[in-house]
Parts: sequence; structure tokens; C-alpha cells
Amino acid sequence: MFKKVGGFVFTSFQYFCVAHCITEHVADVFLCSGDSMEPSIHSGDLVIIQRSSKMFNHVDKGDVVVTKSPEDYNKFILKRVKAVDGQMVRRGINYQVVPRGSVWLEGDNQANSKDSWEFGPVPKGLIHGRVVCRIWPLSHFSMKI
Amino acid sequence: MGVWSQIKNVVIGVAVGRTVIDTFGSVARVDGISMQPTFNPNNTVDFVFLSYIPVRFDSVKRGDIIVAVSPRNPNETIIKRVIGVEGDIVVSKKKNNTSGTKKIVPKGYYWIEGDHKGHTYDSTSFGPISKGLVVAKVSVIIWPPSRWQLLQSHHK
Repeated sequence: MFKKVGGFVFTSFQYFCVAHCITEHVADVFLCSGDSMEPSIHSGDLVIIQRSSKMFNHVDKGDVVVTKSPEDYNKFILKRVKAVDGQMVRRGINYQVVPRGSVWLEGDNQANSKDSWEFGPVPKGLIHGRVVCRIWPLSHFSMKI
Repeated sequence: MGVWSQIKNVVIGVAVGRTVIDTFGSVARVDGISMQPTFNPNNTVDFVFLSYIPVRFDSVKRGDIIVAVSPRNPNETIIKRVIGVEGDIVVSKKKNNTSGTKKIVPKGYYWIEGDHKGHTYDSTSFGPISKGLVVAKVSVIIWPPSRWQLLQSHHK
């Protein structure tokens, strides 16, 4: 009896570790909420994100990324990269140059989005992963977001 | 059969090891002179233990030594001392400049500086860093043996 329980705990621990490594270093599933990325991503969509790691941390202009919020590191935000290091962003008469090693994030729904215009450029080290595809709802499956 | 079960064992072993490292901590080498005299006092190389748990529970205090991802280069990590936590007023002194400017550290940010003033690339150049960039807290030097010690968290 004891041996059986111990074996079960040990096996589940092994599977937990494998799952941890996959979500930490390869890919993860992320549930989106909020309307700051409409119309590309709606509240309640499930997306697969490719985790950025030491080996892979290349982001380009136009990618949708999940980052830790610079103001509250327990929260994640989902935004589109508008500019990477050295490029310039403009809104109206405001110009900003994005410093080296940082990205400029903006939501697609400009009317309701808390983005880099509020908290400034975001260092690349905060990026959690890049959105690869949307898997739910199934009717809206798409690789291009 | 034999080959596959061996591969499976290796994969699971690597995964278990990686998980333990990700949860508790790892060992890292300290490069550079920015933290003299705390680390690398005579141009030797120190190895330190990075513990990830205090960062996860948000128990980093003023005066602690931390490891963070450099805000200017995501592939680099930097080791510095926390000078100010959110809400503190810090005096930022640039090199060769006796009068500093006063700044308030915003919510969710740390002000970090190296111990070797003037020879460190820290918050005086890139401003406060977000808490999300902090990877680990450093509390013990483990190599070389002559320098085995717990690191006190002190500040002026």
C-alpha cells in the first residue's frame, strides 16, 4: 500500500517536472482577458506563446508579446511591439526614441489600452514570450495575429 | 525498448534537475569590478549562490544584493545592491558630480547601485529597474573557500 502511494507520488512529481520545463523553456498556453488588443485578440481567447529564453529572445516590430507588467511584476500584459531598440515612435507631436535593449508596446485598441505611453519603454528582460497562434475559440484559429 | 526507456530516464532526469534549479537556486560566477570590495576584492573570481525563493515571495529588502537582467541587454545579468525600494527618495549622483538630484522610486521598482562607486553601470545611468527584472537574491559566497561567508545586508 505504502509503496503504491509512494510510487504514484514519485511518478506525478516526474510528470510535473517535465511539464514545468516545457512551460518554462518551450511553450505555454495563455488566457487573454481585457479588451486592449481588440480586434486582433478578444477577451477569453486562448493563445500559445513561445517562451523567450536565454537562447531565444528575438522580437520584431509587429509581434504580439506577453510581458510582465513593469509596474506590477505579478501581472502579465499582452501588447503589440511597435518599435524595438533605436527606433522612433510618434503620436501627435510627441516623439520618443526607444533606448537600447527595450521595446515599445502598444495595444491595438488605442481607446482603451494601458501601454508604453503610460509606463515608458519596456526592457526586453521582462518579455515572457511571443504569441504564436490562437487555439481557442476553434473557429478563430489563426497563426497570424 | 532498452534505448527508449533510457532516453526517457535521461529526459525525466534533466527535467527534475532543471525544476529543482529553477525553484531553489543555482551557482554563478561574479565577473567584473562593479561590486568591489564585496565581491572580487583582489581581482579574484568569486562564486555565489543565487536563491530564487526570496524574489518569488517579494522579500527583498533595502541593502540586499540581487541579480537582475540588465535593462539594456536581455542576455546579460548584473549584480548590484538594492539602495531604494518603492516610495524611497534616493539621491542620484553621477560620476565627478558632487551634487545629486533627488528622485522618488516609483511603485514596483528598485533603485540598485554597485558598491564600487564610479566604476559601475547602475541605476544612476539607466534609472530604477522594474521588480520583474530581478532574478535572484545573493546571500552567500561559496567559492573560494577562504572567502566562505554570509553576506550582510547593510546600507548607509
